Amino acid sequence: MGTVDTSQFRKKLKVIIDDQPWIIVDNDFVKPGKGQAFNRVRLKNLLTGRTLDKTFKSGESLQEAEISSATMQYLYNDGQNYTFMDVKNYEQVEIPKENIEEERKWLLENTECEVQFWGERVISVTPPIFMDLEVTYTEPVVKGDTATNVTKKATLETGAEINVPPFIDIGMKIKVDTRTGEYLQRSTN
Amino acid sequence: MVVKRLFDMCENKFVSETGNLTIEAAVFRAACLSKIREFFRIRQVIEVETPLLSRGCSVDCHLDLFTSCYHPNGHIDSVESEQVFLHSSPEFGMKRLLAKGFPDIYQICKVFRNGEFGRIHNPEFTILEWYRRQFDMFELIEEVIELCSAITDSKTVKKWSYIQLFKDFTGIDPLKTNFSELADLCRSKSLTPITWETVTDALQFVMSEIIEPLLPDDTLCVVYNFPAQQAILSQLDETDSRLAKRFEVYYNKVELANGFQELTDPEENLRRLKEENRKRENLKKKPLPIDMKFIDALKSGMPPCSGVAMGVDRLIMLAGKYSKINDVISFTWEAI
Repeated sequence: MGTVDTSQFRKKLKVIIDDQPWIIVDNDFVKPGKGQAFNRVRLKNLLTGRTLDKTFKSGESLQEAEISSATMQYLYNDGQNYTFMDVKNYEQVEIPKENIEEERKWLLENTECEVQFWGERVISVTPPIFMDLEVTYTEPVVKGDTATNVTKKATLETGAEINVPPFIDIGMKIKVDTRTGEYLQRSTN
Repeated sequence: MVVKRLFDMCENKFVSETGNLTIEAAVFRAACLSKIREFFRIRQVIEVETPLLSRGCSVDCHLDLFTSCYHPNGHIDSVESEQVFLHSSPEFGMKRLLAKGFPDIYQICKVFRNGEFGRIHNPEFTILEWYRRQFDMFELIEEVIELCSAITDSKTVKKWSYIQLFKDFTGIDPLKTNFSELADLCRSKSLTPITWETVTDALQFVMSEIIEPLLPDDTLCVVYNFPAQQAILSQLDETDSRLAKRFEVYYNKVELANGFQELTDPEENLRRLKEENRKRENLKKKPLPIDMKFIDALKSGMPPCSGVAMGVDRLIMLAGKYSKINDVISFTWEAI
């Protein structure tokens, strides 16, 4: 992939700094009236999530990071690693559970996710926005107690714990927004 | 009341594309321009217009210009053509008028600076520039403060000399410092210093990244007596030739105005412009044609005067408490 210079810096542009992939989160062009121009850039590390503020002289250039993505199906986990399979070429990849702490609580067998790679390294795993999951545990609500209980906790078949309305019972299937962890509605199918 | 009528008439439409000027903002902008003109009318400063096109141009080593092509026979493909520049400031035209004997003058016009685009930059923007005969730098500073106070709701003013500003905010003497000290300062503030070509570049970086963010809010901040290397067309200070009679005004961390007690000597002007062109070459940039009609005009005698340039879009943005100049410009660069 090519190089980009400061005039091409934009939000969401992915670049390499010190052999690491970063995404531009904010880019501010600064030029004092009688002085040299520069760009104030805020970046996020695609591997570690760390934020960095860096100033670049006008005209400086960086290597663009080559990020590829693939649709991958979650197969299984062995307690330590989660195995995914590329739906196109059937190649498998193992992702340590630490790298998908947030996402793994939405995964059912065969759930398809968008996986982003930088070379061989997995940068992100994005599950489907909506998942229909079964409630495996929740406290029953005592009749007449609806005034005080607006929501209650429920555990889903994948291990996720979310807030649900009081009428939700064990065994019910509910639709959740995986981006926010919110209950949306009872599943319609 | 006027604003409400216009909303009704225009179906309360908002411009949603880039260049976010709403009708309300346009009305505000027009009112500011009107106030500016009234400010000068009362003071008997005459409005002038000088050409946007010129054969000579600013040779500032950090400025890049727009060019245009003149075809005498009007055919865009013809071999006979002359390259001209779009001005980055009306300075040369206005100084030529002053040298011809014109009284105090002001201009509100578009200027063009290539490659400058951001939250408070647009390659084409509106500048207000004015010149006052027989004013020294301090008198002009007072007038700039009066104008800014009339347009924005600023209530306080603070003034520093450049040296005092640096010492107060960084503990460093800007005229005695070096790359290493400035780099250490940047690192101590968790700023990665970029590679600077000159100490002047480093000082400007520190000014922009460390000092400006610390300037008090809602206060007109005036900095005067800049180092001579940062003020090529201004008179030097009589008591200390390392300093120039240049000042800047900031408001809410935005650079608003830049003024000088003007250099009137033609030879000295020419010498400094040639020096600036050499700096361009050092930066691997093409030297640019010096405006010799301007130099010639100085030979017939420009009166002692002080002049200042102010970003009108920024002034309006700050006065109306908008967050970016997009909000006060009809169509910014990406929307044309």
